Amino acid sequence: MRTLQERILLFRIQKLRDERAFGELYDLYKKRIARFVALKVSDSNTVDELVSDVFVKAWKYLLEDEPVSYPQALLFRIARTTVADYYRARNTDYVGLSEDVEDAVQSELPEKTDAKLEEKLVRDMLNLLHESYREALVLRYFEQMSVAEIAEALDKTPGTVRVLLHRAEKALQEKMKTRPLL
Amino acid sequence: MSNEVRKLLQRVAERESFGALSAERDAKIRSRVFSRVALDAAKAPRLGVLGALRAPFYGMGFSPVLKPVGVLFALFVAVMGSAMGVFASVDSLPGDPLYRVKLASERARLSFAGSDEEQARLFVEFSGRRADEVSRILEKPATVLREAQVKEAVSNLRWQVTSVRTKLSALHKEQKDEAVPLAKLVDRKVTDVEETLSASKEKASESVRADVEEAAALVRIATVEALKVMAEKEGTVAETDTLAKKVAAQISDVRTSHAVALKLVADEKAELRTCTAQGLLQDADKALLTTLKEADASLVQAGELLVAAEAAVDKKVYTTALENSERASKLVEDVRKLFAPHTDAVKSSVIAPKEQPTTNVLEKTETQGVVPKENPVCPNNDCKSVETTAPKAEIPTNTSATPSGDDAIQIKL
Repeated sequence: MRTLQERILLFRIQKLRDERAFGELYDLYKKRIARFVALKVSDSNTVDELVSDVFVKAWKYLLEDEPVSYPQALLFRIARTTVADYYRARNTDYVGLSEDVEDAVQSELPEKTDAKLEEKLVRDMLNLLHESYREALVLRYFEQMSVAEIAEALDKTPGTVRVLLHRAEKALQEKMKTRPLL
Repeated sequence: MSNEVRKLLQRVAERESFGALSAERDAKIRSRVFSRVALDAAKAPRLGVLGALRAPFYGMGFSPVLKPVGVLFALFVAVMGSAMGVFASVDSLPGDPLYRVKLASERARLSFAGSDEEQARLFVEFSGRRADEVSRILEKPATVLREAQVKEAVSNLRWQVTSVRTKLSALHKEQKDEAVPLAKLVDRKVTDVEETLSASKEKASESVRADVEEAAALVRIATVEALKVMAEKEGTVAETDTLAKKVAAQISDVRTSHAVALKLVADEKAELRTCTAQGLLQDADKALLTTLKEADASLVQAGELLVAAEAAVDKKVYTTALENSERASKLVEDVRKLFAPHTDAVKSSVIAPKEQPTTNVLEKTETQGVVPKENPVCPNNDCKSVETTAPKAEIPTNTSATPSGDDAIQIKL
């Protein structure tokens, strides 16, 4: 269910083409979208460009007056396709870190206990997962999205998302067993 | 997933630094986004009152739960609003903003009525309201608006009384048991309507008086029809005393009208005789002679019918009595309509002959002395000696009497 704030913002954007309302929507979700994109793309300049594209596409979509159930799900769906388009344009597939990198990370872990290392660990563990698992976990645990919202963001049914989350958690658990937690 | 892993994910997610956008990066992204957004944005969007009402519910789909709740809520609001509107409109008069609400609520009640009998009862109730409206409007100072209000109320009243008659007639023809109770209701209620109209008529201006009188006549017809239904169904058996009194009262009313009509004809004859004696009779007046002769014949016939009606009452054959009375009434009314401008004055003279002058061809005013009043027979008012030379018409006390034979002979000339 959308919040009252989201309903009012959507009304102002879709019915009144209110730029300030879109600005408020941008402020609400910019950090989360940037983080989501950053988990897929390592270069910060590229992240910024892709985040810009995500919001511009969202603005255009909203002006078409299409019904929107969850604004954040819409933004994450657009972010997914934008990143996919980015890699498609470069004719490369998104893959996790190479084994060399993984080994390097693994060797560093026992010595670093600060927050940066913890973030790096999480990031790296996620990179070891299949993309669909990674997206499901990110949306569930980082973005605190409901199953219904994730389903809309990933363009899947809620039942599929539940199964996906279960498998993703299991896969992450398996990966974590091989690495010590900080 | 183990709690440790879950906690790790949550801890990282909650950390501000994780995925944080620097102000510089944010400004860069914002600049890119809003340089494009500005192209499509409205210049000065305003939410407005309606928008403020709609926005909180924007895009809320009607779920299987919400839909019935929403519909019920809307119905509740509509019903409460309507009920308050209808309640507030009870005392409204034609021309008031809420009067349409009042009529609409009546139409709604009619449409929900399950049977002809129920509809007829409602029509009776509503006709009473219209008569009450006429009465209340005429309490106000005379204005053009007041006349328009009266006409509207009377128009509605006529429609409702006609509907009562139609419904009653249909039920009677179909031999429905509901016909008699309905007829009693019509007799009881519509008589009140007639009394209200009669009282109101005295306050009405010339322009609307005819409308009020016409409505009253229609109401009288409805009463007679109701009595006929009661008479046919109950005949000489039950409630005969009440029925006999009602029928006799009806015949008595027609007799009064008959007397008024006789007086009118007599006056017209007197005036015409005066003109003839002075050699002022014109071609146009010959048509009046023919009309007077026809009026005479009608009144003679009406008198005979009234005698027959009274005889039928004595024999307790009330249906026949009412039919004769009704035919007599129609004849009398036709005659009265011919001389409509004088009707009220003459009727007053019949009711209180000692107080009202019977001849009013001349009218005295304080400033002008004796002023000739326009005479329909002598339009130029040349017959100045009418008041002294014309024989006084006698007010018939026995309304079964026929017009004077002497008058008829003199008119023939």
